Amino acid sequence: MQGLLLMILSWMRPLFRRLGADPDQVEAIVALKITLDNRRTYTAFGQQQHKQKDRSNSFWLMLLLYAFMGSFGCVVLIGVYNQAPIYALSFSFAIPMLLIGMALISDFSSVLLDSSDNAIILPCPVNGRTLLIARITHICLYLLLMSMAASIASAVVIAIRFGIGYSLLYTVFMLLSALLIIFLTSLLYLLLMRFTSEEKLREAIMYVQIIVAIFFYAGYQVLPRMISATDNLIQLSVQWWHYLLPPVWFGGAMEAFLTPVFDPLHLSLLALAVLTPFVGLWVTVSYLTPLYNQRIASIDVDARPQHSGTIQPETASRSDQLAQWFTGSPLEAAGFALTWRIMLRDRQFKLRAYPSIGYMIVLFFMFVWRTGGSLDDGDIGTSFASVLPLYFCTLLLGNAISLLRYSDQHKAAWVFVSTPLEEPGQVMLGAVKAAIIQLLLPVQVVVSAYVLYVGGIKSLDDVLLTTFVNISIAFLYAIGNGYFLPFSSPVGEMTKGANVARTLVIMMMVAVLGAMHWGLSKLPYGVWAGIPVMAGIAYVLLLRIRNADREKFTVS
Amino acid sequence: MTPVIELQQLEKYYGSTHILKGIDLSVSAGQVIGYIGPNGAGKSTTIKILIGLIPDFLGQASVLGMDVRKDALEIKRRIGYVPELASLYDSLTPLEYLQFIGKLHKLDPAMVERRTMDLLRLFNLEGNASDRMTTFSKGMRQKVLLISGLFHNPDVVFLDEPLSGLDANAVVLVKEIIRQLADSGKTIFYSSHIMDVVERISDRIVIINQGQIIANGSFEELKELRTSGSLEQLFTQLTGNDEQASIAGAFVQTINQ
Repeated sequence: MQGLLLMILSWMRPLFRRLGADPDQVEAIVALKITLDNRRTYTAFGQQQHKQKDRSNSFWLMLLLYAFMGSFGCVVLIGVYNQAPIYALSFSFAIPMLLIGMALISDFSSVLLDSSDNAIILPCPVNGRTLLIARITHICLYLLLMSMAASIASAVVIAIRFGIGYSLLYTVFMLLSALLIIFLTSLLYLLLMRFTSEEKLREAIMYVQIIVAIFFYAGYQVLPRMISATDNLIQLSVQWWHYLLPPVWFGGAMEAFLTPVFDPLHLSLLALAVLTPFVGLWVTVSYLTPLYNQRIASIDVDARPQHSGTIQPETASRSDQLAQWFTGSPLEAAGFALTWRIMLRDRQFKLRAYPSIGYMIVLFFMFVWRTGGSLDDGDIGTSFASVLPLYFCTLLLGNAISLLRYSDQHKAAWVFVSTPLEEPGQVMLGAVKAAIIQLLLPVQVVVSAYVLYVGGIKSLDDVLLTTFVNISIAFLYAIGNGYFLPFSSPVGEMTKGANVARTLVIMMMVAVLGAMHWGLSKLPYGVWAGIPVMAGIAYVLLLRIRNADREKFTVS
Repeated sequence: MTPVIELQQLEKYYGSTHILKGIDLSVSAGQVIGYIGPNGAGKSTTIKILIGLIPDFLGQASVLGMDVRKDALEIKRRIGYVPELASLYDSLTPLEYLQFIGKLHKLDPAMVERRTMDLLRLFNLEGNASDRMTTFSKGMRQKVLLISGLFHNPDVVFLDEPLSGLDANAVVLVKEIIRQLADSGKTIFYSSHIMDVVERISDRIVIINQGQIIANGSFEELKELRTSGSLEQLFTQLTGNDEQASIAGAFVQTINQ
């Protein structure tokens, strides 16, 4: 594969020379970039978790994933084309465009924002033009391969149905749409860079990465079901505002050729589809790139810490305030405040923890969608179903709690060893409490509100009981994976195997508790009776953590 | 003889910050120049201008008789640069990395491989030649960077804090390499915070503070400026921080309270 790319590059040598770049150096830089791409981890895999030994094919694997995701577009194309061709075609453009756009923002941002190019390559005898051409070539190759991967399924469908010529036309439109996406993304980047600092920009990118991960997950969950529902779904008429969406331009342009129909509407869509990418390209090259390079160059300078004058104690005291409310000793408060702050600030922690929160939200909506309004009528069995979402919170928490022990800066945990820490259990309890309150509580409140809304005030007992169940499960997760001090283990140790077994055991306990909950709901006031028992269990578990032996804690 | 490095009224602004406020400096071949100053004094900026990374500055800068603005490419071909804060592509192996840098310098790949392996062996890294640098310690990365800045046999070498992370033996080795490079007629522009190293290896010491040169001469000449014994003491006196002893006193007192 890499050989093939390099062959393509060698055909382009005269072009490079014409553009004023040095072909040998362009080739060397692009080859280097491809190697680096293949050794990077991609957000789309959700793989930050565990650094595998040496990845050397991750880029090709990612292309496969994109081909798979793109194939959803072709399913819609097959299913819906007869009823609403423009809708089907637009959809088949929309998916690859979305994929490319998000990939550009999330994974490629590290490449675009990489100032190490400047530090490493520019001190060598390479002129700025060569580096620029190499960068553009690399980005184009990357996008070319990705848009090809994401649209290959649809292209094949079109080839079978309308012939190979139309398939080629489709591919041309696909490439045009990729060009348009580059323009739109660089516009977005420049806006972000214009109005925020580099640190904020990285923060914004992190959230995009999290959304990408959730989007992929939701895609897996929702799309297959949507397709089974498409038969009766498609009464869609095209609204006027649909013409503002870029995928519809391409869908319309393609429809014009396939039908064929060349009325003013389709001609204008075709014009938009063909012209906007080139206008965008021209604007990008002549206006945005210089601006962009200027900003990149100044990133190194911006990165220098600047004295912001006054230190702001407000946020600091807020975590301390919360720690005071929810903890019983200074040591516990220290663990709470540390964990609370790191969970809010550590980008890597967020990248690991937030997607799974998003997954839970997706699962929750799937549940609500599929059960629909059938919850509140009928016998007690279905009304119990309305309680089930409350147990989703547990799934969410399990992952977050097991993440509490890991950090990229685990070495900083030497402070736990160098200080005369007599009761590390209190630090751990503080940490677990911080996670419960920061991550579980909001979700629990929202889901409880939903359950109370659906089930009425008579569901209050269920809500209270599950609250204590979830808290107990949180403690169980904390104990089950071994006593720990917050953020003290290297991320690399995050081995799945051992934890899976424990997690399964805990999940089974959740199931048992759920079954008992269901049993109690059959008895009058049964659930109310269960509440103090569950609260008692939670308290016992809390004590076990707080009073755990010093010897049980290890700091690597 | 034309000077190897020449700066005339060099000024640089970052936005509204005046980083360099008129630097005049002339360096002749075969010298080791120790370029020192407190953080933010403009050391790295000076080096970046000299190697052609920052083209927009005021005044004149030339290296090997060539104008930095006009002949940046030709200058880069004949200089070596070892940056501070090891930035390198660490998912590559040292061999891959150095071959890449070799290609950018348009060196013969076979020669690069031979020379790289020899140099890695001399630095005790031949066993790691094919390991990805993600696992490397700071000292190991620094050695790779030193090789990448020197293996094309440059006439002028710019070193920005080149000893960081190296162990004591490697420090001795690199100091000796610097000395012998200078003796063979190469010019070394050396920037560091470690005063006693600068004191020992430099033929000439240039101290800058707040974008201006405040001392320039051999260590012996500088010593005549003040009565203090070591470069370190001289440095703190010249850069206006001779209250260190009283600050230390206050520090200890605060702990004892």
